[in-house]
Amino acid sequence: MPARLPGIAFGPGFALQGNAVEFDITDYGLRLVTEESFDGAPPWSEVSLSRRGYTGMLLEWPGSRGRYAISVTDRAAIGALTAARPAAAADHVSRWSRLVWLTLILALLAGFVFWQYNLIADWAVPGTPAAKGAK
Amino acid sequence: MSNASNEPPVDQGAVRRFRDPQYVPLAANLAQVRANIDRLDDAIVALLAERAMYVKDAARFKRDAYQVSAPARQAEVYAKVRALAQRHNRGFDHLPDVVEAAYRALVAGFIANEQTYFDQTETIDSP
Repeated sequence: MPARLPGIAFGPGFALQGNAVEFDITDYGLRLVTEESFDGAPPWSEVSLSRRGYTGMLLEWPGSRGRYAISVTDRAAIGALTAARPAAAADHVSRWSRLVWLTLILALLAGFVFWQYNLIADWAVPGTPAAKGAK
Repeated sequence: MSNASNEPPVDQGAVRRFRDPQYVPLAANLAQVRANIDRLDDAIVALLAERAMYVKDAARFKRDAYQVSAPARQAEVYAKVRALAQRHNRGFDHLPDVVEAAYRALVAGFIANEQTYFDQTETIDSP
């Protein structure tokens, strides 16, 4: 059961001073209760959370029609958001982890190619002396 | 007709007192109270007029409606005025709530006009 929280929404379709809204938070991300489009249901990977002012929290994400934000000042809602953040952070970390591993593998592959250039050249072009190919 | 339904007389003494013995009256009659409120309203509105001109000027630094809306800045302003209300409060219950509500109404009006001024601006060409 997702947690339903109050906030003030900004962005395309909302008043410049914001509109009071409710939104759900799940392991996937957040979803504005009144908004059915994709813009109103971003995954955590698209949402940036920041502390604003003295007690509030601001969630921002890009949408197809422009940038959106929800300002949250309710203490219970901030607590729920803070608790939900580890899941988002974990997703963020796992994406970084995947990126680091991919970079490492590519670097090792490039190193192997550079180190065993002659062997690879012989294998790729049979009958061509590696020394000649290298000229 | 009962006197209770009429406007109160402004030049007479108090007809009620606070039960709190620490309360210090600020005026001898309602005329004095209203004169001070009028004096403060004049100062408040003058300051709002000055604030409005900065809101107008802010339009020159915004790129789109989202930046005019500036939700992060709005959140900061409401938090700031609540803190200011607590700091300046001399004994009025729920003053931060009153000030925040007033500022939300003010900001709504200011931002709507800032968007109008934004629409009257044009992008400065890069050299």
